[in-house]
Amino acid sequence: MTVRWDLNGFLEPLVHLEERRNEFIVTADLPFVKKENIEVNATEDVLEIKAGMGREYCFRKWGTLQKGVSFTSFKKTIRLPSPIDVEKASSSFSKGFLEIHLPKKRRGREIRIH
Amino acid sequence: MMNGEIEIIEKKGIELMQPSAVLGFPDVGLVGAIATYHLVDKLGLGEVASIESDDFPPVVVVHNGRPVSPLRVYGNRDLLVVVSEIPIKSSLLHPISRKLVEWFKSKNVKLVIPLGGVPHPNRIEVEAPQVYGISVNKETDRLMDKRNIQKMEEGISVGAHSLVIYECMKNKINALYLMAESHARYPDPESAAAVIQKLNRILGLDVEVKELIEKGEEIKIQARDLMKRTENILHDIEKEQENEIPMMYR
Repeated sequence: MTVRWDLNGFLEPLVHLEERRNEFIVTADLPFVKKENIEVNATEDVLEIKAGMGREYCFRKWGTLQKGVSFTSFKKTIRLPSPIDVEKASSSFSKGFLEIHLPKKRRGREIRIH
Repeated sequence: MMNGEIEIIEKKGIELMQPSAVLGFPDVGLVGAIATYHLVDKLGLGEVASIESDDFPPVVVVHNGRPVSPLRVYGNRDLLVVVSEIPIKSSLLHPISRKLVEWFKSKNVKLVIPLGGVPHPNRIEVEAPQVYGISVNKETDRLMDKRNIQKMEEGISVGAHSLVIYECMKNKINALYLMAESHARYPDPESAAAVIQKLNRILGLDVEVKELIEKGEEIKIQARDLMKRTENILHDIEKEQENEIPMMYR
């Protein structure tokens, strides 16, 4: 339920996956991130987002062992509900939000009724 | 404390002069939560009460090295601000709303203003979020009209803020629910700034919002976990009903 982090300085961003008829749309909130520091990789069923913040972010009073951790990047891996056409995927970045369009791979065909 | 019972435990020495009350439970875009934390910080308000119940999750929050209740009331003589650091589950929304309004009444609160967000499907393209209001009587209608706050005439409003103003109306307490256009599932400090600007004009405050914009990215990082938890609760309370047209629409 919580968004994760790890001791190597990765924070998990808030991400949403919306399924439409012909595509999945993934959005991610990436504060402090510039477009040139984003890396998106996809296979047919897995999407990976990595984004450097371009700075260190440390919660100096938070928790116990968290105090000493400096976060520098976001990282999120998403398993997609059905295969996508990687070649037709596209993305944009505006005002700190990444939006990725992942067209679904067409499977099956229309069955004619005689 | 019995199951279902909610208690507001006051700290000693609370003196109020017909205050106004502002609240912002975690909801869409965490608009109310971000706005109320900012108000408490900028106005330097002290804690005046905690809200407690055996039905709350077994959570205490540690602030300045000390455990505190996740639901607290801050204030001074003229203003009470209710904050929550946990989203409120569906079964507690009615009892909390009733208890709060009952307490407001006992403290002669003259005006109750919940702050929240209203999801905008293309929020990213909105430069200046519009603020809308739901008002309980003609007096609060006039408060909105004077500040150019657009009134929600018909629709469905879901959650603690809506229940609080409804309870206020039944108890004849003036109330006005201010909602800024916001992201639904991402923390939205800009929308929090928009509701505070309207609140400033209604209550004659001068709370600076520049910091909310300048530190917006930092706030968004800090608010990730609360947003994620809130999203699950919003799903449970069927918040998406707000996009539905009510049956008696005319």
